[in-house]
Amino acid sequence: MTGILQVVRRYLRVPVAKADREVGDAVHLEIAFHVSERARDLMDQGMPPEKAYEAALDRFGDISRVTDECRAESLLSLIVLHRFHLVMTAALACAVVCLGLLFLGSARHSQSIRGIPPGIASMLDNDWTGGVSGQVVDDLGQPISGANVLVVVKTWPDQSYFQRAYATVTNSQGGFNLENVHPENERYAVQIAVVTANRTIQSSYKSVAKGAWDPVTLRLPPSSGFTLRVENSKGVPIANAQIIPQQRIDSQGNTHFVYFDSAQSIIHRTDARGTVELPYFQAGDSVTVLLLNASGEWEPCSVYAPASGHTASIRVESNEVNLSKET
Amino acid sequence: MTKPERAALLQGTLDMLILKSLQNGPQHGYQITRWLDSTSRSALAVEEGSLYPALHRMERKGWISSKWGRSDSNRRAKFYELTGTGRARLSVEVDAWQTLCSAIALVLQANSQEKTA
Repeated sequence: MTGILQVVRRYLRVPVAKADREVGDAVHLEIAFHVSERARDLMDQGMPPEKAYEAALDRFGDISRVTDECRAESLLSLIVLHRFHLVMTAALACAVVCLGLLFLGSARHSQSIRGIPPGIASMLDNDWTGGVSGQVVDDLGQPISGANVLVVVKTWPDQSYFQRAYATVTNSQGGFNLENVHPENERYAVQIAVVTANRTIQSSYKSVAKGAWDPVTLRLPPSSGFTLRVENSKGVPIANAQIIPQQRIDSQGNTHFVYFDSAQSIIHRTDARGTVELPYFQAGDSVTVLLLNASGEWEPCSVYAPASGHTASIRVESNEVNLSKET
Repeated sequence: MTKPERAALLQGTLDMLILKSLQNGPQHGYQITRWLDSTSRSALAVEEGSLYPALHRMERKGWISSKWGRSDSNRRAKFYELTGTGRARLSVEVDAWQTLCSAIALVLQANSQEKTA
């Protein structure tokens, strides 16, 4: 450390001593040449050598003063050049440090989003500050709190496709708000599904060319609900089978859909009798549920929702249902 | 026969004279001294030593540049040469000097007219 400081100190010091010696030598040489040339001229005019040199020195004036003045002038320019050199070196060092920091920042950023396709990475790198908000109300316009709001946001960064799922619940005013989930300066689409007990599943799909999100209101009429029974081909109930309510098509033909990506929070399990309550449908709805099969895949199964208090059944092969342990 | 008295240089005129002496090409210090002496017919009293600080100062200002070479007597000598900046500076100095001389001449003429009037 001390050695480095000494090197830096030596570098910053104006090289006066060395320069002074070199400049002094040069000035002496110049003056000696002048005096000898003058003496030679005087000798050519017939003056004896000794007298000629004396006369030449006399005409030249104070050699020490002239030497000092010449040296001072030359060193002044050297000092200015040295200062300029130091300033340029410092500026170069600063530029190198700044570039290094920029590169480091860029490398860290790249590292943080490693694994993401380039188009999406550049998208994430840009403006990703748009939100999704809205309100969930009942058929009378009263807010519904604690409802599951399942949101899927789709974007198309750099000709590629990017989809992310979010889940939240409504507050006491029936409101929900997800922040920083899409870019406002690009096209995006938002699928929202609301699932809550004793209300029919409602969903909304909205595509936005560019700009901020306009809050939506989802109105949930009451549901009649029904019981779903899962059994094997011999009619034996299957307990602990996993089910996701995925879709309902109402009597008017309107489809309400829950994206699988966002549905992890609404997985249901059959009880010991192989039944599960699905209070999200109206009698007569065409219902699709996803059932986790033995190979770990979610398989769609469709039934019509019966009247309230009645049971609909799904019959599957006994060894094709994934009976994972309940947690 | 008495030798004519040598005129002391006015403050600031040495630079102009040195620049003028280099107008026709590179010269070393002693050549400049001899040129000034012969051209002024030994009328200007230039202390030879005062030439060198002036040369170094003008070199720092960029009016002249220098390099080491060989003199007529085959000795190492430092030759000075006019730069573009120096050429422009010479022009400015000459103009200023001529303006000054004209003004002084006018003043001197005015004084003599008043006396005769």
